[in-house]
Amino acid sequence: MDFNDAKYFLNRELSWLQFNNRVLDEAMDRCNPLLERLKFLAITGSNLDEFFMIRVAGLKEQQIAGYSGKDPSGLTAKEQIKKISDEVHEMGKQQYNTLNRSIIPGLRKYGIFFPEIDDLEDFQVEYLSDYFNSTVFPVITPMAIDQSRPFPQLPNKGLNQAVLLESEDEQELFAMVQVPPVLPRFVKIPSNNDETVFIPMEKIIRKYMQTLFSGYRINAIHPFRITRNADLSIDEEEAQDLLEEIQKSLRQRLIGFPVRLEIEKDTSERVRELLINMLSLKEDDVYEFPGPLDISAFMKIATMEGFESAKFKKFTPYPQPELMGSESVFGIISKKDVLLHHPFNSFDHVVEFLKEAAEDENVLAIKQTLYRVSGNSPIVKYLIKAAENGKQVTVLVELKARFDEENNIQWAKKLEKAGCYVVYGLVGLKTHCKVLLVVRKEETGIKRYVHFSTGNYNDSTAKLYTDIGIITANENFGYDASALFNVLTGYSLPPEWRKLSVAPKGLRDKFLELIEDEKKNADNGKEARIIVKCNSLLDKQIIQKLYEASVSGVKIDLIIRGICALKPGMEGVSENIRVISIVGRYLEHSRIFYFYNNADPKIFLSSADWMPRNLDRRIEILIPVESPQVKEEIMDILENNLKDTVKARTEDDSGNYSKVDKRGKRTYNSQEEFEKTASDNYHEYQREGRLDLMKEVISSINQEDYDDDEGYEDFDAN
Amino acid sequence: MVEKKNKIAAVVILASEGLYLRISQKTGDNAEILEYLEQPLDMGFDTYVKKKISFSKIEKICEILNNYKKIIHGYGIRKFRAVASATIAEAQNSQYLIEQIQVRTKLKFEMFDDSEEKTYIYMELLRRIESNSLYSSDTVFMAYIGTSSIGIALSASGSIIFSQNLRIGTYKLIELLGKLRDNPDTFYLVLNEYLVSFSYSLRSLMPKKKIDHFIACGKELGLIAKICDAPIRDNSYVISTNDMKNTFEKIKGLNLDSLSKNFTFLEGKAKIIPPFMGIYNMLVDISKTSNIIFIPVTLMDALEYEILNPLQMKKIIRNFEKDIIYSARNIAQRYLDDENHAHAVEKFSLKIFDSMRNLHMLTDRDRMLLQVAAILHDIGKFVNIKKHARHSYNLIKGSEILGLSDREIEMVALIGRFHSDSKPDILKDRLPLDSEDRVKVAKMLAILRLGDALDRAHNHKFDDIKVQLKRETITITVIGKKEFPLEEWAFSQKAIFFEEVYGIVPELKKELAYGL
Repeated sequence: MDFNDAKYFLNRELSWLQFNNRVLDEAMDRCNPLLERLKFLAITGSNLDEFFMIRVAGLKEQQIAGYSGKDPSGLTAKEQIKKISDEVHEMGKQQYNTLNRSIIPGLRKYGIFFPEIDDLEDFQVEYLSDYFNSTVFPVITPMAIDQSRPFPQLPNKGLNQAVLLESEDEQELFAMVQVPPVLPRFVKIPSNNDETVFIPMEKIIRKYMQTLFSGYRINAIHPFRITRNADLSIDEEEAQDLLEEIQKSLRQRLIGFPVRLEIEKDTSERVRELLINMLSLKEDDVYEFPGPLDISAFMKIATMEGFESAKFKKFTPYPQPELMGSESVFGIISKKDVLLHHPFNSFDHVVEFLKEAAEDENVLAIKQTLYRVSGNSPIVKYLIKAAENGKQVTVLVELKARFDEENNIQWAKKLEKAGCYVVYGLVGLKTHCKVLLVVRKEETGIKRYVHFSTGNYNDSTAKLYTDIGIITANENFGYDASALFNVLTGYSLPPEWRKLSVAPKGLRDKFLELIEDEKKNADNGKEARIIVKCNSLLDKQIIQKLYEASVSGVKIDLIIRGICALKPGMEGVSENIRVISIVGRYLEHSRIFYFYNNADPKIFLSSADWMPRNLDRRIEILIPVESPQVKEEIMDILENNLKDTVKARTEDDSGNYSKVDKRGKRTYNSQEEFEKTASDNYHEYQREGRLDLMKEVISSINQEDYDDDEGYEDFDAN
Repeated sequence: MVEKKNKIAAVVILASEGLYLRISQKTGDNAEILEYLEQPLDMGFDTYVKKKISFSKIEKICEILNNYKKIIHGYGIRKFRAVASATIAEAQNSQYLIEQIQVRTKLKFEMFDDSEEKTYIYMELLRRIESNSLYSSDTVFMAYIGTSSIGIALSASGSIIFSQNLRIGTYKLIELLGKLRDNPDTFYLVLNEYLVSFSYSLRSLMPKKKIDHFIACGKELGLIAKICDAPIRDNSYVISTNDMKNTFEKIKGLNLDSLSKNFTFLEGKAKIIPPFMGIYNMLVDISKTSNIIFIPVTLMDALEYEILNPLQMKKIIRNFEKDIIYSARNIAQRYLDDENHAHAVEKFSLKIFDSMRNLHMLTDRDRMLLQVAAILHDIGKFVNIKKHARHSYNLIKGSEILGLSDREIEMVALIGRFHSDSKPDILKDRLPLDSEDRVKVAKMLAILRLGDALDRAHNHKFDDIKVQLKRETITITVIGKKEFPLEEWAFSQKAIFFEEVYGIVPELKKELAYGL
């Protein structure tokens, strides 16, 4: 069968918007605590920002360049932009309905209010007036726009107010006031009782706008927000110093071309027209919302201190029992591979592993990839410590981690200063694999310990993203990890890998081969099954291969959180493929690949999604899991995911998602189950530990008794 | 820190095609590879064709070396081996390159000439053959295909009984046949005829012995094995002669493009495959074996083994030195009617050498060189008695004795060259050796000349000699039945140079063996 036809594929952007809708679902879900709902809502906002800055901007670039090619689903850039606009307009309605009709009213129950200024009491207005004069006024600069003063370069994602003025001689004047990004978007003001009261900054400025334009009459004030193209593309071949180029490009990101204009609902035609013209946008690029604009700003409120009853019950990641006890990580890993399932298992184990390596006198070298690091990262701290302790420390910092560049540059410099050998990745390829290698000199010779992960070395996101890490002392993985760093640092050509498959060379082929093997088994009448969990499925070749496998009768379960361009359940094509997406409290992020392989399952972890960018333009790795115990644990994770009836949605053949049919099944929230498993494992370990301790105490008591007896005997003998 | 001597080995090899680093550690009897790095340099063709290395690559080489040093230091290794292979050594300006690298990276490369490189590879190959009961007691035809020459050797029960170097290499063939590539028929015709000429001379030189196995190594053999779909057995490929010949026939019909398309794993190496296969085809016609066993042995393997197993390696080298002597005798046989004189000189010279150890401070390796020189010093007489020493020099230089480096061959040849001069002027002449080696040559030469004098008449008057070293004299007592005025005269003549070199006077005494 020829699976090239557009009817076999879903559009990537529309599929992504579906994902954002699932996040929005969570914001609408009354089963979630209210501030968590607000958080999900804020996420839909920041997600959309990024989507416009990168994806829509990219489509616009295609359009500007006159590119009329079609995507695999048969849509031109122009058609996609139109469909996106329709979808996002619809989504906007839902976002603001949820915010204004459900969440904000609901928050009153918790004593959180967003009143109009007109409804405030005198002491509150007085506070606002003081606040404006002392704090706001000094940092705002009104900008007039006329023929001699062109439209100012308003920053990306910034909130502004357009002001229509009239001078005394009845001349119309247009001015801009930027809502200062250095000040909080929602200002908390004093209140009676225990109420928490917020006033949006733009409303405060609006109230005192006249002080900025004395002598003019203000006819209208309207907030608006611009989103710009922010794709960071650098001519790396030309770049002398990647670090410098990225810093330059970061500055440019502020001034990319506009792709979206958000305005409030009752914005006057005059202002709307002026803005559209000045920004050279089209009607479809304008989004009118009831306000307040920039829904992502509510993140600050959703995550503010207190209000625990409006939040998820606090979950503290549990230690992995296998890594506990008095033995060193090296001793434990020498005996067996250990799996870490974050955030249910604590990320502290990874930090601890690095810390031990930094302090262990037998450790010779540490090598690590750093893609996105948290602020004040303990990882960076211990890498620096290791360098100070005389270890050879090589750190591969990936500067091209989108939107994190500024952060990365900071760490890179800090590490360099401490004597770490910092490498900035390969030209043209983003380093996306996550590897930590420790080289240690032991009595038996050199021994290497490797931590592979599906997630970044970021202690903050490790509390929010589900990821899987594995620590092993298997020599073949050590060899491959060393070789991988030699490739990443540009020291060597890729070797013949012993265990890993590595993108951009050979990873897609490996996946295709694995799927093909299942297909062959199915063709030969054997049982055949594939379970894959990843974030996105977009790669055309892989999708086609999956269709082929499905046609041959391979049962395929795909757990794909985000974009999925594959259409499941098409008659005669993908009837054997089921796609579910889990969107819940934690961001599903682990990538697991399971192949039944005629009853001898092959299980892999990977840093890669099934997207062309992962397979062609990044350094990604596929890690075969070999330890039978770890394999079993991972299998449990997959099975648990597949059982979900609460946060799982099933995709249909037109790319729409709906909650799984619960009839006849018990309510099952996989993420909560993972929490429970981690807790059970830990408590069982503690119980056993207590038992062991008791046994120890009992035996030591016996020992004492025995000693006493012996004393008596001695006495007798004398 | 836990540290055991020689547990880890790091070897850097600079070859014209790339720069390589391997770090291994000894685990039991095996070596476990910890790291293997390679960076292509693509200087090979230039080196071969222009005989000069372009310095444009030097920056890159130094950058790579600095990176490699980081990796090596990451394992806490302080001493490692850095060797420039024969492909580098063959360039006229290789010394400058090595010097420049040293200036910039503080890394001193040892330069291996073709012969040294082959020696190491043969030693490693022999070691593997010996450790494998399948081949150890048989007659093995060995071939090492380098980029600029092919080494051929015949071993029986672990000793090399014949060796020959053929100056054909892949680069040379590619260069020679380059223009013919567009015309496959002519290309393969010329290739065949060119190789046949080598096979003819090889056949005539080789001992006529039934060959049990054909064992080969060389860089691209792995590719050929892959093309022929050869199975792997104990880390080696077994390519059946039939498969190889069939594949070769198939390839003959393909141009370069379709060759690369048919065998995608070749990746730019397609053009070296036809000459390679031509060479193997020629060699298997000589060996008449039913298959070629490819044991992938590299210079890297041998150097690494030497670091990880120094004692075993010493033993291997000693064994190999026996093969060197054996080869030398084979050569002598080819040229000398009467080998008895050479035997006598060999015997006397070594005896003198052994008695003078405290005085000359030369090594066992030098003793072996002296022995080879004694065996070969007169082979020039095959050409002409007149100026025979010059002919000896040329013949020795051209003999390519497996196991001796070019430098050592030069030393042996020089001993031959000056063995009969009345006043050898080793220090002044324009000789291609450094002064340290010249002094060594002088020391060995002085000894050999005494040994030669003791059988001046070539009639083996003495069965044995006794050597006594005193502070200012060395007394050589000859034991024989005859009078020996000629030898006495010759001895006194040769004594002058000996005194010049060692500062002591040699005396000849006789002890008549009438009573025996």
